[in-house]
Amino acid sequence: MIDLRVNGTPYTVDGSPLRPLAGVLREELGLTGTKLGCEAGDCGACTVLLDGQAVASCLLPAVRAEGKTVTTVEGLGAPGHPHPLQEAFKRHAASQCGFCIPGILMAATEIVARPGPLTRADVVAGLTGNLCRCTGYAAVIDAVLDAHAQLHPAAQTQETTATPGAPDA
Amino acid sequence: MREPRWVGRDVPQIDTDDKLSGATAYLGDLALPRMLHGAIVRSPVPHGRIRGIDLTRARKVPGVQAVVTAADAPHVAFGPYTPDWEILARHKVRFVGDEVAAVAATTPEAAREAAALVTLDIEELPAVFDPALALAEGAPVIWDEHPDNVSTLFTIERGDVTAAFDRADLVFEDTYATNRIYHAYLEPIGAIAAYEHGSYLMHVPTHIPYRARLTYAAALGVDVDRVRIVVPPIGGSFGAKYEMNTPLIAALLARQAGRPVRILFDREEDAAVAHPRPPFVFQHRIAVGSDGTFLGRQTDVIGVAGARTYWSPTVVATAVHRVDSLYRFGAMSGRGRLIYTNENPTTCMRGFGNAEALFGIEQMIDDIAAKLGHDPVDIRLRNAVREGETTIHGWHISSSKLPQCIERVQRMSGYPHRPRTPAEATGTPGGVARGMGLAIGHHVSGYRTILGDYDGSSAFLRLGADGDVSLYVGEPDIGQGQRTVLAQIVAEKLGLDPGRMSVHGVDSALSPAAVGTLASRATTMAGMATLAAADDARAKLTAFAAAHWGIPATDVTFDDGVLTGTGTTLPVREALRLYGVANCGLPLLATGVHHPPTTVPDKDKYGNPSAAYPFAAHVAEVEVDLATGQVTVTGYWAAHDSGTVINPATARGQVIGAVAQGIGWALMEDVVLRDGVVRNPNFLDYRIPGAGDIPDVQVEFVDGYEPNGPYGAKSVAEAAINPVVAAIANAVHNATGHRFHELPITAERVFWRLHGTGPNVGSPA
Amino acid sequence: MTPATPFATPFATRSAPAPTATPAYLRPATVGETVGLLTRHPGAHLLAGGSDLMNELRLGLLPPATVIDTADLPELHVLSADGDIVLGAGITMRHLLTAFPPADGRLRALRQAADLLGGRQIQAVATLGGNICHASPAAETAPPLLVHDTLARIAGPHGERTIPVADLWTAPRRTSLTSGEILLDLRIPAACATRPSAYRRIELRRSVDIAVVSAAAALETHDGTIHAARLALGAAGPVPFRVPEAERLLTGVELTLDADGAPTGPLATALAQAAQACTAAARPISDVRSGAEYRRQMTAVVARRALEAAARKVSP
Repeated sequence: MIDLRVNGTPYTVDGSPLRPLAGVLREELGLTGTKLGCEAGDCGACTVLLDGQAVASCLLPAVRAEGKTVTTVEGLGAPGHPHPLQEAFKRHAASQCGFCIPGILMAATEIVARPGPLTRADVVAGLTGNLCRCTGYAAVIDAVLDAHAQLHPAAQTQETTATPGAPDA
Repeated sequence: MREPRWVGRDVPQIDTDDKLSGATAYLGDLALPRMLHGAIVRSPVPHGRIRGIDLTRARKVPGVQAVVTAADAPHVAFGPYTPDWEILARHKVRFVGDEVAAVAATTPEAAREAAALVTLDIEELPAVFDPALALAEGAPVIWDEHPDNVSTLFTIERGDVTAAFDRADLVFEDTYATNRIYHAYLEPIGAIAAYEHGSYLMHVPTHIPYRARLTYAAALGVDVDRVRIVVPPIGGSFGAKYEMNTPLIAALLARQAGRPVRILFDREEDAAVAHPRPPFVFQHRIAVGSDGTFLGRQTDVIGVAGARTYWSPTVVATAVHRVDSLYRFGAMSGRGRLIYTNENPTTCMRGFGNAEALFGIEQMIDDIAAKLGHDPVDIRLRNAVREGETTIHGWHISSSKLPQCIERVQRMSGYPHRPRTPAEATGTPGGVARGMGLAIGHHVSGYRTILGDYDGSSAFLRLGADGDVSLYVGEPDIGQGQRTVLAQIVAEKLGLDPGRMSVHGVDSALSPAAVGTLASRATTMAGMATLAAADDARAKLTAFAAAHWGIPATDVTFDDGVLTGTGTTLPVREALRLYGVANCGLPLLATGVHHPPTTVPDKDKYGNPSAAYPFAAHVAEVEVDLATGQVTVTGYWAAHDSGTVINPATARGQVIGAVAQGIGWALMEDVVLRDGVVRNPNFLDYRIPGAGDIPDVQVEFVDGYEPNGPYGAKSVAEAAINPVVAAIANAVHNATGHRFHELPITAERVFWRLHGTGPNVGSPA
Repeated sequence: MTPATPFATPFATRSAPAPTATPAYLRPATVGETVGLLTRHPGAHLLAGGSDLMNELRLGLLPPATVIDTADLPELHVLSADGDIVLGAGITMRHLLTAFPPADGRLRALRQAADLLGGRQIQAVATLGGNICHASPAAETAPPLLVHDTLARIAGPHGERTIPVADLWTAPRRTSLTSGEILLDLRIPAACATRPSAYRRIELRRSVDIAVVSAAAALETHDGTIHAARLALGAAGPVPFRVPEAERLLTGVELTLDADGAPTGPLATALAQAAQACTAAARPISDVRSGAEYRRQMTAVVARRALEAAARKVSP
């Protein structure tokens, strides 16, 4: 028996403590917004927030979510009140087939939660764990920057050229 | 004409809210009552004779409800091009991964466990993995019906090629090879099948459901109306999810179990057996006059079919002759051969042979220009097919703004200021060389021969009395934003908000039959049918209003969603309500049929297969790390002629997405096979570009109008990938002085070219 | 994140864990209890972040043996940064990145490696102990731990022992941990932690990737001269290793950098020689990512880049 708190709702589920959280969310709780793209932690489609941190739910033993807060794409925004990220993704036409999008939105939630300036390179660095085959990422990155600006109007969003993956000198 | 209100605007995608909230239910998110889970038993050897299959242990696994082999399948040969498909292997297995048996159980785990317990007794046969070896005397024969291992032969000839080469001042010859590319959509392949009262219901994310239905009905030995295909939202395809054995295996299991069955691949299975882009070897010869005029072309193409024939025959044909609607090569002759090997079968992918051909041709044209001392842009313009022309194969170019694209991309990118010498390219600090490359490309907007019986499209609109408006077409949306584009077309005609419309998913029991979403045809073909349906709705609403007011229809105007009679008006939603009241609830049904001006090519392959041809000019800027050989794309510019752009935001997304796929193909993607086994069946070792691998891609659409497309529109999606690998290869040449004749242009390959001959690189030991 | 295995996993031979074979799950509260369980369950898997274990169990690359969860072991979750640095084996990459921001300057090489290990989603769970006990020759954090002169503290049935981290790896995917043993923490002497250091890798893409080859470097300098150098390579042999010959060539060399931070004079010469020593020391393999000879050549490039980056961090 594992006690989980997902999108503010408590659940108790049966099964192995080692069952991947993604399977529990999808099969037991019916939260199919969390997608399985590789089940190996390489694509990010299954990203959820665990106490506000992006994690790959395909590799997370369900027991590791016990006593923590899980947020899935279904918990992002509310009907009629989309999260600023969802609004920005819509404005920027940032979704194509849409399969990677829930995972990207959850990874981006952590990125945009951060106050202070956010650069293009920051967004790229924050999304290295998410693959998308349709968009080429441009609209996705624009949307994340836009949502951050909506959430933190005071923070100056600087436009810089991304030098992704470059470690600090 | 008034300014368009919806066409040409960045209308938000009408199906995006569900995608952004996680509500969109893809195949893996569907759960049918009593649904079982299937798993496929696949051959572990590349070639062998099946001596026996022992199902005893598999049947004993708790939860197993069905176990099938070839004995449970109708004994019919079928296949989209060549009847070399079997639902399950009957006598022989022909590749590692060939389907031999399948299991359905109450859980995916039980199904997989049972599948692992099926014991195969296979007598291994000699196998062949190299098309050249497959063509050699004495090679293992994969199909008795094809003792030469040639699946398909395509030949074509126009004009006097010998004479053209005889009078040429220069002849350029080169060999170029393109590689196996995994489509790498994020949603793995799957299918759900159910069987009831002699009919099959399949939930399959195919984008050619009607063509697939013909294949599946033939395979199952039933009439076509006994197969119903419902298309769920598709999580990416790029050509992979046309037709497969998977839905048929699910159908056999469902029939035996009497319950619905879902088969859903994991990534490893998907990457190992989903059908990749076929690898090609091109031998190109181009005859050129001293002024830079192309006089003749000869191309010989060898492509790999793998162990059975999917859609690669048409890809080979495209690779041989589509480039003749981009350039006037004068006389040409071409031969394409698609060869069987004991490898996972190949199929089409975005670009469809055209990008592959351009990889070599566009590099050779740079070489020709250099040799003759011409500017590479001038030589392209001199030989480019122009608007209004009919090409040597009878393809009619009803619109082309290619010269404007070339002019625009040069201005956007600064290509004229690229380095002209290796010293200039390497003169930058940091141990890197920089260069720029240009390539052009084109494509079709539909291809006439796909369904055989007809081309074009049809659509119907259901305008309900309560104001609910739904459009039905037979072309599934594959994420490219087609739903929104079609809704914009309806909105423009009827003055309705596209955000309040729905474009219904394709269901063969409900939607118009159609050729499908392929060959970049949806906007053009479904768009024209939709336009016709919207026109029909306008006419019917106008007639209804006229009758309502008792005035002649000619006295009624219909503009921006309002019907106006003599001194009175009626908003369209109110008109629909009155129409429903007057007709006891019947929705207003409007239909549209579009017959495009295309022809089936004749026996000499002459005829116009597409209604519209899009064009593009791209420039890539690269940085080459001289110490490691690593190529980084640092800038990218794309200028496109897609006629009228109905939704600039989604069209731009198509271009950037295609460029990203092209960057992956050019630099890092390769399905690595050893002895027929895919060695990199995962996203860690089959690398697709991540956010950090794509530079800022600048996209501009030049003004254009395509007379055969809705509101002047033609296609975007494939034209956008076709120049990419060539543009990058030309940029690498500009930076390093080295021509790369094979893909991908990996750091390792570049390193050994820069630092002398190394060991054999590419495929691992 | 599971690296390619020497053999692909064809479907027919892939043994999916059966429902009945779901691994037993044990969750000890103390190290002593853990050692006892490990002794009683030979072949049991230790669960740290799970990012490798879960995937390899799914693929059937590991047998579905008993899983012992380390979540409740306090010793594994210590991060102490006053004086000597102690990093519990269960410390995540994310925790490392937070604890040692770029401005801190300590353990720069390790920090840079942690930043390159997987995406953010993996960094949130992947642990130091998991990364090094998985014993991949390409393990991201291994070369930095080598150049930081790290000591590994191990608990076992016969008490504790402490070894240089280099002695942890014996072969690809093999460690020197014996039955019943568990890695508790990693200790980096204060003086080593502050050495200017850097980590570099050759990668095939700018997103999540595994190193083709990697190198970490750390320099101890006095008055503009290198007094001690550390250089370690990843994916260049069966285990991550230091290159003593390269370190020797750099010792006593003056740090001659030009205004742009590029090495000149004696430093340039020594770096070139050290890079060559790496090439000579490398025993890489060919695999799906790269040929052995390219890997060997790249050890020189990556070592040089790591050394230059470390040199640029030396305060003038």
